[in-house]
Amino acid sequence: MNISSAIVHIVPARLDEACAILAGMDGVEIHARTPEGKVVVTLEDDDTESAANRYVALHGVPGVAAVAMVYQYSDEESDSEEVEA
Amino acid sequence: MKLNRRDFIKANAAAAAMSVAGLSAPTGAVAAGKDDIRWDKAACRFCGTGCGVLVGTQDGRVVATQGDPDAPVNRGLNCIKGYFLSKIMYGGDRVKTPMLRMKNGKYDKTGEFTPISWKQAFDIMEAQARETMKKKGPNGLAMFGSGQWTVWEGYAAAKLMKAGFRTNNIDPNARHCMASAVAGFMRTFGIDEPAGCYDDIEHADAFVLWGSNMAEMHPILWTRITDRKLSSKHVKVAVLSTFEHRSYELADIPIIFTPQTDLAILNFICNYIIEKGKVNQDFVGKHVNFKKSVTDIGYGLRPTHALEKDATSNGYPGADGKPKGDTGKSEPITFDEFKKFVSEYTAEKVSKLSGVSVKDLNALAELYADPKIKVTSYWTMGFNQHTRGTWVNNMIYNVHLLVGKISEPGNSPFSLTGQPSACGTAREVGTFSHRLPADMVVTNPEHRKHTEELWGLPDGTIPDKPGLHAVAMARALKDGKVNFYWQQCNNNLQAGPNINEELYPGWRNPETFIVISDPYPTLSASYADLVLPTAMWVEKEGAYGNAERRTQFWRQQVKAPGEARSDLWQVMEFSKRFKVDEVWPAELLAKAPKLKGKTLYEVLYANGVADKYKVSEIAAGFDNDESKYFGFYVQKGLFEEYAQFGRGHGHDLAPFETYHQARGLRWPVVDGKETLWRFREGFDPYVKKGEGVAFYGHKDRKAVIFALPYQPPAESPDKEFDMWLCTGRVLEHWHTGTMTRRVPELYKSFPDAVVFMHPDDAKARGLQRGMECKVASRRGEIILRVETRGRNKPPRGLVFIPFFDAGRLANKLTLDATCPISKETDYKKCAVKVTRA
Repeated sequence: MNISSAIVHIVPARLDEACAILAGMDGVEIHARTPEGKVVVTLEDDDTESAANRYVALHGVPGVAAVAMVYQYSDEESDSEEVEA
Repeated sequence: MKLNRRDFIKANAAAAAMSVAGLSAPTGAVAAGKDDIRWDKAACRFCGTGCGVLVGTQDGRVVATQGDPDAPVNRGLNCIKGYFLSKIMYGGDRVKTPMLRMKNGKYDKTGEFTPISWKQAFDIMEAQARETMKKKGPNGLAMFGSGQWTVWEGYAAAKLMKAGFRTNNIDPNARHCMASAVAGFMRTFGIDEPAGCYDDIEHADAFVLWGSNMAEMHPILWTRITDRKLSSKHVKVAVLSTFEHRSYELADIPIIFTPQTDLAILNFICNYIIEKGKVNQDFVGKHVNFKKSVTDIGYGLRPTHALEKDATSNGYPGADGKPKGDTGKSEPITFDEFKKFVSEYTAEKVSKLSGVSVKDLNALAELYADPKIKVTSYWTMGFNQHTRGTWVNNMIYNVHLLVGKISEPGNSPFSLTGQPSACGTAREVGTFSHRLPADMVVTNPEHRKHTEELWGLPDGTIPDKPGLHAVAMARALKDGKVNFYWQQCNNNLQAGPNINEELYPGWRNPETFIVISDPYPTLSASYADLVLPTAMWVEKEGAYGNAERRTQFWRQQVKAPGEARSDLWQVMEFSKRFKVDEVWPAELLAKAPKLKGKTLYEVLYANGVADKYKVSEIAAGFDNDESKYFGFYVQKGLFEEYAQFGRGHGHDLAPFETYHQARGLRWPVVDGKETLWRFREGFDPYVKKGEGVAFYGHKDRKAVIFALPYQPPAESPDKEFDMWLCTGRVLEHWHTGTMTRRVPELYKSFPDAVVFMHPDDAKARGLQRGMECKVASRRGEIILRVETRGRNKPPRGLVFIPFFDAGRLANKLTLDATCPISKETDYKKCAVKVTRA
């Protein structure tokens, strides 16, 4: 399991267009966005693609001005175990 | 609430990003998960930004890295290369033992690489170095180092060459990236490195990028600029380049100019400021001198080149054997003379020359002219890799100085660095062929004397002539003048210019012995005679200095694989092979009889100063392989000896241990306090009370505005070679890809170099996106695929090729023309033709 998060800065004029592309990417989830163009996403791996490759792909989305990684987690463990939160 | 583990971690990840983005309260969530990982701080291994990272180690292996939330540079953020730092040391093909070309059990330049011991490696190196010194003297030896060396590695190597072997033939690869910035600083301010710092970003109202694609090359700084612009609506961004790239996404004033005409644009801006009456008269009157430079300075090509024969001030030997003038010479002029000089650079004339509209030129100039706009200028290789690189650095300072927009928050002409310690090591330590520590130079007798005193060496030890710079070193190898060459921490056979004509011939010249220290079998290593396996990054204790004068340390986190040893160990251990009696003339040694019979190791390192600190001072729980081997705290001793040069001289460094605690400090560090803006009272302790501003690098405490003209480049497109070639980097790869091409994700993301070109240029040559084509210059040709829809969008008549790909060597095409003052190569302009392969 590999999960990471990133801050994506998007030029405001293309915010909707770029967020639509991000939302449509497998393993990418938008958690917050501001009208100024700051978007928080998480990236997860699955059987077809690594979280890292998804991170690489963010840079190519039209309107994306900057991408910065914040947090990453990876382990070999099962991801179904329940935890208290 | 019950969550499954994946959701829980995802929530944590999102919360951490929200907090860093300022969208929620700080969570304090870092590095969740495996408990038995040791986390410790380090500086990123890649660019000059100098991000802080946390390195996670488990069972003697780096298993994870993350942006350091406490690092002021990046505040927990990481770019894509930084994200993969944990993998750079674990490529499958690490060099783990010395390798020598051998035939029939003996060294043979045409032999096959064979594993040998360190003893055998130093035996052959010693024999080759001795033979060279016998035949050619010490100047037959040369070392080519790096802006990626740690501070003490550069310091130890400079000592070995300049004081030990007594040759100034040591130069760093930073010559290829920063030399023009250095020469610019020294000429304008008399002291190296930027006045401002990254904190300018949060204060500036406008940013101007001159030949810098920060979106790809300095992504974390670009994130900070993006954040500033998106959160403050009045902030403007101007981007100037010879082709459109990712930084243009954010540009309010996007400018594409004809190569080399940045010189004219800068003079136009000065003319605009003067014409509009926007000169800051008070500032200029108090703090600025005006000078006019010699201009017929050539292009740093071989003296036999047509462009050098008639040049009157290129410094090369003339018919009488005396140097033809001095490339850096200048004489005082008045403000009115400067005004007259730039007056010919009108908007109309410069628009015609540069291809930039008058409207855009005026909008750009107004950012600088308007006293209400705080403006920060950034530049990297577009300025520095320029046959007029020193001039163009001087000229951006002209603009900022005319309006007094310098040395205060948000007003900042800022030279970005490409390498992690181009500043900390190559520049501050003085590993250039003409330099000594703390901005001193080998040609100044006072500087040599001071250095010899601090090193405990007799008067006259350090040679008084500059050694060979990067390009001259390559030429000297080809010409057989240098026979012994040791390269550490860089890959010059791929990164240097004009590989076919000026690099490769020297390496395979039967007279030369080429030693390469590297963690990986690079192109340089493949064509070497001896390869030494090197410990990299956190396999050793290290220190880097970033672009904003920030010195940062890390501890050794893991052991290097196999027989790999740090560059520091290699230099120090090799120095044991020579006695001063063997390499110094008797008359020099007679001045210091107590050194008689000692090895270079004893004279330079175990000298009573650098060996003062005990191994027991190393933090518990951390390795330090060099110190354990030599029996003293090597890094601390070398650092404290080196720091004596700068303390009290404007380059003050804090005590060694401080840096193991702090997330870096920006020098000068005086009374425990770092300096954010130099030359300004209230920020910089070297500015006296009531002085306001003082450019104290010069004796009269003034900066210099230089009158410098537009001049054409060394090579321009013509009928046959009809396109400009510009080379550079891409986001995913660092320089020649030695590290990044060994990270599978980064490799896969940008596997091969392509040629970026305009779709109409492709069409006109019968080419389509994805087709193979041949790019040829007068010096060589390569075959690669056409990209017409990529991230870089050149205008018609220009192509861009990244240089990371060892299979498609962009530098077979480039010309070894340099700025004649800084000796830095222009990698951004030469003429090529593109045809179907």
